[in-house]
Amino acid sequence: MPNPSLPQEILDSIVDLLYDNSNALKDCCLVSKTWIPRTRKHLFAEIMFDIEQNLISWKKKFPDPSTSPAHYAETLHVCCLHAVTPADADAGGWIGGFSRVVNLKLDAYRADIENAERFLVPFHGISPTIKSLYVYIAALPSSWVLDLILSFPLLEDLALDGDDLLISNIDDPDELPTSIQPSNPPTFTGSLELHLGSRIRPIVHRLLSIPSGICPRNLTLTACDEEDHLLVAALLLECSDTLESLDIRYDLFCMSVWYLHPHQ
Amino acid sequence: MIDLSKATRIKGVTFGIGSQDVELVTMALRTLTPTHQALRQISIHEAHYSISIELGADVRRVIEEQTASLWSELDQLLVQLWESRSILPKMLYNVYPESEKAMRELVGYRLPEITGRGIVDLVKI
Repeated sequence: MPNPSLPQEILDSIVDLLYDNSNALKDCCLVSKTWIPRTRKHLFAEIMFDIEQNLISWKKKFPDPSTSPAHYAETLHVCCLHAVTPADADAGGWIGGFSRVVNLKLDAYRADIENAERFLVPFHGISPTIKSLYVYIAALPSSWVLDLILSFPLLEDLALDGDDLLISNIDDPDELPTSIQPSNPPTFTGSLELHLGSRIRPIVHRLLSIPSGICPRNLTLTACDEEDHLLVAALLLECSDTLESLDIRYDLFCMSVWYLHPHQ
Repeated sequence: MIDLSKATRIKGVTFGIGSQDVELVTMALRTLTPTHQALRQISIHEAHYSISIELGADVRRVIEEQTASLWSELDQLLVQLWESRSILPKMLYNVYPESEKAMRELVGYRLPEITGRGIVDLVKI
């Protein structure tokens, strides 16, 4: 039941106070149609598709991407990348509904690579407002990830993770042919968090070659072997004008393997 | 080598290392110059603390003997940084509660000067 004596701004403020109480927000949705947009803003602020079933369920509940609450999402976390691409093709650009996402997190585990097409293409430039990107890269070719990164010109924070020890025999030459040649590449003015190693090293080399440079304030680096020492030095040199915080870690397990088998 | 000489805006630096890598920290901190006016925090997390303590006294003794001189150099440098810039170093650790005493003894053995003068913060993470 709408209350005509209270302006919408006040009602919105009341709903905002309940931002972390999902049960109360769901109750608010039942009060009045005028309450729905504000409650959805909080209810759908963070969407996670950790398993394929969640994605199927979302598509059943919201079959029309243009009217789905996807555009309320500020954080989108997808773990089942293998399911997204066909789902996106079926629904005519389903993933594009998440057009206001600010934080994008993509986890690509080993199983995702089986019979993979270009999983990441639907995510290219999905939201012009994306400022933060996290990719668990393990099962993805580096060039795909680089294309994804370069599709977000306003990217401030980038985190790339991936454990070399979980990866085997994926062809991924250091020369990265990328399909995207951005005129305005991101400069990463926030944080760069990089778990170096054979998968992420070529991406970092390419980022270092961006003519406009990269200028993060916070740098978190995990080095896996001797080759990473050179990359750490290059990153420090590149970021030295803006760097305010450095967190450098040596992946002890990877380093131990390297010390024992330096040519592997 | 970690060269911080040009990163003159840096406010904080954290190293996560193994006991063999302590020399990297010393070398990195030696690249600091008087122009690093903003630097306020140096943190060191030596993960082998936890491992060596859990493995027992014999393993710990071997590691200590191998790396004693390297830690001594770092100890002296941290004293200098405290005296010249009042930067209180933090030693980060993560051990079981029952191993905390052994961990503190190990830090005291490796970094006797800063420990003895009370110019180090031990921080459980």
